[in-house]
Amino acid sequence: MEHKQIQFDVAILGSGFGGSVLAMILAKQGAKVVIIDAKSHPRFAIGESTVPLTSQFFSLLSRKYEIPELANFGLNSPAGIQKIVGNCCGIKRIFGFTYHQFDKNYNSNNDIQFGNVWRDENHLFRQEVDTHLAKIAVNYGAVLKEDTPVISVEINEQVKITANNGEEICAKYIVDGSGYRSLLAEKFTLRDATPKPKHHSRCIFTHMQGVLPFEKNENLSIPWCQGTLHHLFESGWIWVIPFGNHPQATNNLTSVGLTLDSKKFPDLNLSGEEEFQSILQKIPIVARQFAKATAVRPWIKTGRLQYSSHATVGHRYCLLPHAAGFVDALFSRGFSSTLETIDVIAETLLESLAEDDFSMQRFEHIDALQHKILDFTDRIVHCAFISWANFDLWNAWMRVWAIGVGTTESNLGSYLFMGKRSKWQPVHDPITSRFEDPGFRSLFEDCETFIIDFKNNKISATEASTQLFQRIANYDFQMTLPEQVCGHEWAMKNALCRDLFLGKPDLHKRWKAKQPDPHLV
Amino acid sequence: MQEVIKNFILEKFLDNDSRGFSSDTDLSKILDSMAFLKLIDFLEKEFAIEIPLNEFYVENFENVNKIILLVERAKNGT
Repeated sequence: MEHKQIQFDVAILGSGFGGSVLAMILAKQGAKVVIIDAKSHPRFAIGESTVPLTSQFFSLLSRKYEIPELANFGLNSPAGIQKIVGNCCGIKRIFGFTYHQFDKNYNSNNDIQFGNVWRDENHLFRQEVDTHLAKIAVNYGAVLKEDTPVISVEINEQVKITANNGEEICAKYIVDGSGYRSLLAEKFTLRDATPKPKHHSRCIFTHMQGVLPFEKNENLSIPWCQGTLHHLFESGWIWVIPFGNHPQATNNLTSVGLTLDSKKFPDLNLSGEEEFQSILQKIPIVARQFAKATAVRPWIKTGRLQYSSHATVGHRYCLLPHAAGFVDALFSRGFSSTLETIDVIAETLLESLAEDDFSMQRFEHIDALQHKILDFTDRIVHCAFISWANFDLWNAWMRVWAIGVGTTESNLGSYLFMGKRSKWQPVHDPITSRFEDPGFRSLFEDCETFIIDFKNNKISATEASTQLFQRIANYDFQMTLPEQVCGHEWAMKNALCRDLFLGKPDLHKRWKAKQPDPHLV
Repeated sequence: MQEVIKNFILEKFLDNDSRGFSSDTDLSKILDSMAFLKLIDFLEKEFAIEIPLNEFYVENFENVNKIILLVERAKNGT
């Protein structure tokens, strides 16, 4: 059978989250786009927890590329998601962190909550959300080819893709959004033989039913089940991401995952279930939460999670972030990194298409951005794992992270509001995002040095945390907040404030008076 | 409504200096994003409305006339 060759502007491998969002943007802006996927929707995926930066970037893309549907995943969420996807997704009001030591009893004074006053974030039930995003791409004119494995990609003066059904697809440019098993990474041997990340972890995850809410901490603002809960312990953490945590919810599943430093916890060839239970036995208070829980699908057990690529762009191709590399799900950086990168790729590709110029130099900044994002995620996660040896050290490092995201959100919020009239200027040589505060790089790098010194036994945990808190206290906090939100800067910088939830007037009064959390005094 | 909004802006942000200030004045040249947040807080309390976040764009607050349209939309829930 002869197949007709169709000429596209851009071919995208993979119709998952990143591929679909990029496809809808390009299609809406007039490009001829094809998305090719070896499998079909709906399908299981993890990476479920959004942060305010995720929603802000969704809204930025919605506005910049004139795609109103994306605002439903952005600042109009969670209501927007409920309206168009349904009630299968959960809400996220806080990042919740509990801290555990295997040989000691759980101490609720070491709980930390960090949340947002403005609106709730989301626990995205990916099989429904990703299906919906692919549909939006199709509605804007992208051609979707599901169940179409690709057998070869040839790139010369154009891109020629051959599918296993014999179909040939031609495009001017190809973007690989097919994740870990990236076809282009394999074809061009882009993967680093030794992954760049210093962080070393492996993961076990599934969706469960019957997960109980974790013990309420009366001293903190929000029940744990209304946010993303992280149970931290030395060299590992457990995520608990419920979808059925609001009155309209129709989905009682919970995403559960265990990430372990593979040097401290070598793989002993236990099954995923056995390994999860073996960790629960060491943390009885957490085990109670899972007393009645069962996995609704087999546990997935990974090898080393970290991978990276020495190049993420090449002649007429580029990789999306999860095809390029990955570090760890901690701090929920995946979505916002992907969306920030997609914005830059879309902008560059649309210019290249308009001028029919796909020379490599045009795309080099995308490569630089991806390396930067991966490097930052690695460093912040690596230091967090080290810090869990000691609560004070974690308490300090958590604030370095929180100051970074908080101020970035504030800057991006201002940019979103003011648009082209914003006085915001991208910071010179950012460590993580164009929108970060000017002083953040030096705060981060100074504090990182002390964590690494602690790791190398040069200083004690107490010395390191003292140094961190000194730097945090002196940080020039540029985040602007409305007048009625008093003392947030103080709360973020003060070790004796564990309730960083922005939204309760009584907290603001206490923060304004510079009073620590009463249960800690 | 026009006078109430104008008076708030004059008093809070312009030191009551009304020279050259009208319902068409481009507020984005006078106010920063924090000032707009104060203005939104005032509008929501004064007119007992809730302005949805997807309306939080400076174009909707460009001048007093546009703010009036925004308040009307919020009142009608559209």
